[in-house]
Amino acid sequence: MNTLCRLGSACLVTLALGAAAPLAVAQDTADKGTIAILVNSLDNPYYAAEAHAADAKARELGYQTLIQSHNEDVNRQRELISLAVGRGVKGIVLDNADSSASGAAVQYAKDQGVPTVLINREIPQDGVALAQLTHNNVQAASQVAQAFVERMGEQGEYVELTCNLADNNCVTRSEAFHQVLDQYPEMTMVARQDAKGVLLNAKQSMDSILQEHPNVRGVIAGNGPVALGAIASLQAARRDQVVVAGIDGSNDERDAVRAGHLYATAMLQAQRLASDGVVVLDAHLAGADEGGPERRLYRGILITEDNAGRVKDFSYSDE
Amino acid sequence: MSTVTIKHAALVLLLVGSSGFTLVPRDEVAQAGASGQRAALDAGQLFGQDIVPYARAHAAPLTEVARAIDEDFDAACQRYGRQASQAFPCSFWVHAQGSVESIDSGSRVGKAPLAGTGVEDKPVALLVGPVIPGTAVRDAFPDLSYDDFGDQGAFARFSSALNDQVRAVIEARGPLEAGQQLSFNAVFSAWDGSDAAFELIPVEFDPPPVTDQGAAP
Repeated sequence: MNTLCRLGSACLVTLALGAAAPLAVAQDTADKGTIAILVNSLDNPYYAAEAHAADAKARELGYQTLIQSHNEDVNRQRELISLAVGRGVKGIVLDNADSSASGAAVQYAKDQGVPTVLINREIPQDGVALAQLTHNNVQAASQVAQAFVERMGEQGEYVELTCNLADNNCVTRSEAFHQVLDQYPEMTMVARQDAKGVLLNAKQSMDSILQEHPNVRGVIAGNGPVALGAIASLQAARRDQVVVAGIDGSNDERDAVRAGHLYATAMLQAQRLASDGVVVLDAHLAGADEGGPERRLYRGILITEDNAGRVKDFSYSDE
Repeated sequence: MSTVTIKHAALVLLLVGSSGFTLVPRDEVAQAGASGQRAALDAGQLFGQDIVPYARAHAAPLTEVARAIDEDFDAACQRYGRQASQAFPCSFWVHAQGSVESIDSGSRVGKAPLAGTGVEDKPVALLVGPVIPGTAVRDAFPDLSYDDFGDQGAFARFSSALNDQVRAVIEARGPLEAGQQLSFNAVFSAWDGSDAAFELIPVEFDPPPVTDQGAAP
């Protein structure tokens, strides 16, 4: 059973995620029509958590769901949106493939009478999407950076590994890191590389950086896989004392915090954001004025060893 | 400017310079926002002309806020604070008094612990820079909202610009010394009231006496 099938308890059709694959269908006894849920790679636990939560909420509210991955391919995203519109979906919940290049696809759906709620990644245009729900990346990154700089004793050489500078969220996080770190003149960034959000890239980058900068005392990473890649490199080099911080709050990051390899991260509330996106869409489809602003932010929750045990599948337990 | 948003303010500032405010129709404001004029807002002007007076009018005694937080954080936030959404901490305007115990400059987030504030169960410290962490000044002012900026980076940069104004207030006050008696309006933010101390960001020292006892949250 593949990932898509695991997402829905009554999954009827699941096919491979290749470009030619038709939309996968998760179905139950719903009769309110179908909502399309389009996210990035379902192999990434963050996007899988988004899709799972949106699917669960949609089915709870009485919809069928079409779940698919665009794999950050704008062309694939356009095809999927066209297909979804052609199949008569009531609405779309979309974590888009490219913040700056997705407006036209969302506008197309709107022109066809299909509202789209964006989750995680925003688009620059106002009034095209029904709502844009995203993480407060500045708040999350600022808190992580403040924890990082305190742990570093406000001094020393550090490395920044960005998650993917083609992604506005990653750019925002990097800017927020530096709004904090650049106020500390004794903190010296000796290297900055874009690890594209991928663990292996991060490990390879860190391997090279360590050769050139053996006195590095800290690594701040733009997302979870990148932080974990840096940790893998540091462990291989027996540099366990280097302070590492990241953003995501995946279960793997949580475990790294508990093991003492990752000092801090910020958990992004993927499930809540995706679930709320469906609620906004449902209210609109029901003709209700849900009333919230178009752009809505969600807090990132700072995770350290004190509260790591509360993290599970991008959801945070208060108890 | 309680009836105008930042989009309004940006447009107004562009249109009338320093001559005063003129409300413009919402459709014109929307056009201004769409054409990228949001960035025209001046942090120094907003801080001096709007935020400091707002703090004077809305700061509650720290002791009163501290007591309310002890009893019920959510109720205290609703009564005394501002929380734009769950993405932001709750921010409180307070008036505080106390004497400087010491100057802790071991961190660039410099602090001056205060004695005699009337708060008994938690330490109170004045943040004195040079680093002013967080976004409490921006978040506590109700006419600033993320939706008006539409860009997290721009929203964050505007917060940094407001924190620069705080630094200027601190520098204008002059060096603090142990034993000095302080009276000031300040802001702090909290997620749930579990913080170990009240760390206050000053926006005005020696504010004029509040004549309206109804200065309400």
